[in-house]
Amino acid sequence: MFRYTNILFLLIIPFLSKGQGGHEDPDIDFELLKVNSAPSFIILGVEPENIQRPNSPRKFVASIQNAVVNGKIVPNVAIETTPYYWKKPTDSIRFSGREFYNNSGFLNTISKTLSLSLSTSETDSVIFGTLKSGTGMGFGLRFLLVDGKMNPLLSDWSKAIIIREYYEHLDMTSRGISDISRYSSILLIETENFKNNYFDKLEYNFFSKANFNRIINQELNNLLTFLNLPSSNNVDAIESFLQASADNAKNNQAKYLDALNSEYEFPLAKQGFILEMVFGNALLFQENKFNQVAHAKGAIWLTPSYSWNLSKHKSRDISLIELMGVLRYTYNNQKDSVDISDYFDIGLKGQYTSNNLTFALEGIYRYASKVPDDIDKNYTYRLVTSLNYKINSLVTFNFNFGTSFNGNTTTYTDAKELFAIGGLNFGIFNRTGSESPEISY
Amino acid sequence: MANQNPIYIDQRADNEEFVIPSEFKEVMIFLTIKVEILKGGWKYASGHNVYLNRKDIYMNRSPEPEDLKLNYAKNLDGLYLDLRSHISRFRDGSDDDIPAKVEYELIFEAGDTLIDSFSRISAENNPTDFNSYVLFKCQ
Repeated sequence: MFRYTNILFLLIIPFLSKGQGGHEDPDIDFELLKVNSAPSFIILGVEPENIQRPNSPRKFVASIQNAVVNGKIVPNVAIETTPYYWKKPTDSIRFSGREFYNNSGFLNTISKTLSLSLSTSETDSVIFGTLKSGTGMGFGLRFLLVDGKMNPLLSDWSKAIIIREYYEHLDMTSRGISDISRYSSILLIETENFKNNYFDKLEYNFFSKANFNRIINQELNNLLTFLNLPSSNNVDAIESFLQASADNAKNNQAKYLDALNSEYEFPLAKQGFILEMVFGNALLFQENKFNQVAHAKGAIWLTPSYSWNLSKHKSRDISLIELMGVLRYTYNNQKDSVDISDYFDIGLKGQYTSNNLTFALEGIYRYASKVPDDIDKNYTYRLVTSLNYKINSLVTFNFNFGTSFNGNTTTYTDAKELFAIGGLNFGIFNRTGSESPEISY
Repeated sequence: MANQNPIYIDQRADNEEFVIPSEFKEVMIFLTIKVEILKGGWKYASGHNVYLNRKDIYMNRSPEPEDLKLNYAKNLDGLYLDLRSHISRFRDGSDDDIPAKVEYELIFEAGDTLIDSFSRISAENNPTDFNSYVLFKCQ
């Protein structure tokens, strides 16, 4: 049942347009260039609903075996797996601090993030040119070359955990002791114990040994200062100090968690510069015969991205600048008319996001190795700016301006269309559920 | 009399007696902790401080201890088990930033035999703590 309704209207119809009669209008925008699912699915043009995710070599082999029945490849198979976790199966709902933090080195980054995918699908002539129909098989891999840095708020959260663990360790190793001199000496002994033995035990310690010791020494100074006060000469007072210090660290934990969860949908995602390499290839088993396999198409992506969070630290205000890029080389079986050309695409997108405003500028450049005779240039491009402003909780203003091209590979054109489109979204009723439909135009 | 649920949420635990039936006197007692997050789109980070008579018996803190050896029941008589579990939640695609509630379960077993299990569900505050302070009795 709809609980949210949009009323849309166009403010400005495209004001300058040189039509491309007879051409379809399948604009390639930046989002389409991005690798939004497993590369084998993309290259085969499928969006599988049931994806097998084997988490051991045995299950992976079993999945592959199940894709072949009676010597024929079964269509609608979709498999995606990350071999790194075959050895270390992790619960998907548990945040593994060690896996997250202990990620040093280029090769380690690749091996940890390498994911393999495989998919099959019945084919049609549109996708695979003059090749005989049969079963298409896509396979792909993707991995990060540079995996970014953790959110700095996670460091603050980690520090709060270390401090809390320290005071709780002191409290738990001294609980029930009533002799003040014994109590005090235990605190000092256990401080050394904590520094020496807990550095690599705490899963969510994201600090070096030197910084870990610095944090503990700072807290030890606070403790010693307290112990030198005349009022601290009884067990109850010291116990209260330990508990108050642990509670204070817990409050800090809560503060950073609140900031992380309110600012980010995925606060555990790495930030800064990230570089991903993706490869996908599609084969066609014509008439479902292994000996009639033909290469259909393939693609290589390189996707750099960088993000700056400009929000004031611990603030609920969102202020984020993101730069994203895509370099894609697509190679096609031209002999069998899967496509007339190979393509090289470069896409760049910059986006500023705040609580009410999203402003984006994106550009795409495409180079084709061959073009139809009636086309002059081997390149075309698209440049678009878009603005989305939330006037209030019910009304949003949208505006797009730019030039676009028809990206359909068989109706290749120059960049000649200029457009400007604006609109308002009205919410009639309060939006009360995340399942409320979004209407886009 | 049945053992009382010793789990306190977000407050210091009071001392609760935990009686181990005498038939298990010569049997090893094990502790298991289970954590379940009750809403999709969230991940959790956990740390479990397990101290038996002021001695840390689970220095790793995480993941949840499973079949952690405590001692033979006869040796546990009169000892205190101080348990403090801290659970932080992180959004993992959730539409909102209201943290998922957490179900926490404590299981005591003598060998393969269940003695008692207790559970509690947290509120939505983040982090949330599950604390227990148990005095073992086995006579």
